[in-house]
Amino acid sequence: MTTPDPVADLIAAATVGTAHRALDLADLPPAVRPDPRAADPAVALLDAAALSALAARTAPRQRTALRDPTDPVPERVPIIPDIVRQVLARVERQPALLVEALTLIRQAGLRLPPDLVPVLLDDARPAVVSAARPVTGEIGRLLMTKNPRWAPAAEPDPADRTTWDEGTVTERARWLRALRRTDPLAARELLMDGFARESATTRAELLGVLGDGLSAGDQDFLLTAVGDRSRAVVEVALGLLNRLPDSPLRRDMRALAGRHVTVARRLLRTAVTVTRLVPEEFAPWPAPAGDPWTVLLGRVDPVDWSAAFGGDPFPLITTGADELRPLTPGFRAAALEFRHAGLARALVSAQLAAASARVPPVVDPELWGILAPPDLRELLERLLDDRRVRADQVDAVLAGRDRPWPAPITRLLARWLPTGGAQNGPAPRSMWDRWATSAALPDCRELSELARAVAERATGDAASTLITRASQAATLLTVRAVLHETLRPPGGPQ
Amino acid sequence: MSAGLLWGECQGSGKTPYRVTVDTGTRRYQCSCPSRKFPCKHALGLLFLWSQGRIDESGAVAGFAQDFADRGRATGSDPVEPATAGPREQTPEQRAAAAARAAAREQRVADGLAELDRWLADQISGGLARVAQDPYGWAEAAATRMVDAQAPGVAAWLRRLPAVVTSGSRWPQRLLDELALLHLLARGYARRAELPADLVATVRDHVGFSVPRTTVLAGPPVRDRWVIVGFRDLDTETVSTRRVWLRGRESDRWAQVLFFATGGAALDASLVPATELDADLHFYPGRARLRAAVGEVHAEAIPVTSWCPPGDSIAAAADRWASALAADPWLRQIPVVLRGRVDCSGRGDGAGPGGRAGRGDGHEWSFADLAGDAVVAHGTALDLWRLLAVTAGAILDVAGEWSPDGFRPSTIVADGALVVL
Repeated sequence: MTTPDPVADLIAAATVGTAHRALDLADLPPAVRPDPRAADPAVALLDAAALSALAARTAPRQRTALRDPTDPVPERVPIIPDIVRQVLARVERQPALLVEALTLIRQAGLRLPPDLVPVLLDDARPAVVSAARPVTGEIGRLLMTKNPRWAPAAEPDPADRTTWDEGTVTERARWLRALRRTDPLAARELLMDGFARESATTRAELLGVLGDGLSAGDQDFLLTAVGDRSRAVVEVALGLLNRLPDSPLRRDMRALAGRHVTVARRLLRTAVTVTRLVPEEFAPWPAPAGDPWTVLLGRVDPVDWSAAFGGDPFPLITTGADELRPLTPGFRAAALEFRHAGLARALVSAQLAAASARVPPVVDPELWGILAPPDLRELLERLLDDRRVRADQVDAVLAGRDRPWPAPITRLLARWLPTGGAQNGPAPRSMWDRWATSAALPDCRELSELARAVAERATGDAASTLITRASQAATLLTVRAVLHETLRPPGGPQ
Repeated sequence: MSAGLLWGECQGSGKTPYRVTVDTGTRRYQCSCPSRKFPCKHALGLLFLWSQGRIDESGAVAGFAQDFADRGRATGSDPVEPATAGPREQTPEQRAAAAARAAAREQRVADGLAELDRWLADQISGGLARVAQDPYGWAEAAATRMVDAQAPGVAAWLRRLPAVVTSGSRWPQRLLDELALLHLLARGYARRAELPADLVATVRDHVGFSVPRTTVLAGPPVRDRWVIVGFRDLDTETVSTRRVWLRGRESDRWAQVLFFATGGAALDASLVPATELDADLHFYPGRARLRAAVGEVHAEAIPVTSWCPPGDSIAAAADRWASALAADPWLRQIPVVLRGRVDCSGRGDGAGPGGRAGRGDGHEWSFADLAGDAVVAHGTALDLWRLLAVTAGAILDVAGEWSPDGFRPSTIVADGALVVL
């Protein structure tokens, strides 16, 4: 039995209503008992509640002090200079630059000021949080302990099979990947063990895990998986077999391609012969779902083409030989599958050569993305020379390139951005921004001065737009130059 | 430029140039641009040119600049206005008319609050449970009536009640507390003739009677080097309020300066936290003796250095709060500087810094003093995490607001300087 709480009674009566529930104010403690008592029960209750509210407001909301309070956290790593802090504030909304700045801070052996630590750990952009964690110092470690949401996701423990037995598909794949890293053979055998009992989606997802640490030892299991009843599983198995240079798939596809494509030297010219290819010829491998040439050439490494075809087809691809035109999608598939820069160069050259007075240049960003840097510079110069090229095409070409861009590329663009090709005016702001944020750090100071000079010399109708865009780019480049100059490790590159 | 007045025209994207005026003496700005920033970039640009000595200091004042200067003087918003400048001279007829208007308002407020008290009793009689059916509309009619009765403080109070009703478990208790305090206010106003003058001023302040700034500035000044300890912005649908806390270095006295803005206008940012201002403050009447107006400014604000206010224990702060409540039962918060450390327990459930901490985010925040007493710490999660990150478990002096909800930290006092959260 509990002791009645008169104040709780007061609240209950107010909640239900004094018209429905009587309240004896005489039961209240003297401190909250109104005197004189109003005749109207509601008014009397309000009088008592006012006294009670005042008493309650007077007392602070006490809390028990923690038994093991946080001890002062010793920091050994120095904090970034103020100017870097200003730069961080300046690039807060540009994740790529923020990540770059945080990476430079880590490389310089510095840490963030404590007040920025929770802000960056709570950032909604995973890349920013990942880059920030290593530079949060001891206080970051403490905050990640107190707020595990900010800590990096723990790697699954390969020794604990619970996740494999009970987890979701994604969790199981993550666990299998962890096991694959520590014991590739055990991971494969575990997968083989219950493979047939899994659903098709799960089979495809888990089989893909074998891509980590793929080796010839996985071949037999993959060959079995090629016979799977699910097309998705078969495609994953074929993809993985295609990554094994000596797999039967690669061998058979090489031989099949060699039977249909012949490159031969005849007098002063190279001739190519292409014969008809039908899906049935892929047997015993599954018949291709789409264009047979695209599937076939996508499974033959361009490195092997000279041996397979009896001669080097690259010069013919570069010049856009008519006989090879139907095979172009297959060449493209091979270039992308095997990341073959030379083939990409041949295909892009052919695309640029195909442009004529009536046909503007075609740009395939994926092929441009795997060009070697010298080829990129040369071909980009050719592309930019064509006044019909659109800014979005140039942007697409460069969007896929890894940062930082080599100096010749950024200098080339510095000349083109003010005119913008087919746009016949300054390139869009997004391109200026991409240029300014992709330049190599050591080049930023020079390029910022270049951009500033462009802004200062701007004339004509588009001058206002050009001044705005070039000035903004100059600011970004200056910010990056400051970062580079301030955080350059001692003895590091100039 | 002339007599501290800067003006100019700035060509924006439109056909008509923006007209910019800055009064450097009173730090007031005006620009015809649509920017909601205050001061806008055009005013800043004008100040930049001035700082570089690129503005001609001769010539006649442009018409629009003169209008701006005249308006400033007319509204009495000039902080360097002499404190002795009293209300404008009035004729006997004007004084009689003003007295009649004041008496009429007193009566309207009295009638309105009497009606409010009956309405409060009706709510208690019928039961607060009914309120949950329409938490947002339930008190609106009463609030509108209070606007008509010229009791804007009470109207605003009533419009805060929906948030109480929707504040989670035990809301009937919190709502009853609010209604009871309103009842106390209505009763206090009804019996104002029996109350001492300072308590009457307090009651009138909560009811919403404003004291003209010129009247306040006519009162005795308190000159000090006022440390601007922190501020808090509060927004309602119609009015934004900035509550700035100051503390005198010599007098150790707290003061509160309020700024208001409507229609999305920017709040006055002339009092910059972590700086100190050698100025006269004039305190509004009332028992709390906290609200003040800035009078004559004797020197430009400078960053705070070597300021070490004695940090209170939690017991001492609680005593101060109890004394403040005894003087003004409707007081919402007082400023305090506590010595101790912030800490948190609990694992959290993922509420981000945008959320409100102290309750409901899975972390329990507390502020513990050297004696081992602890009080609930509350505020935005970001502020509390930043406080923990900056203090890193160390014992420090932390300024903030003390209220029935607990302690809301706003500023760290470290090495004689202030770090605003």
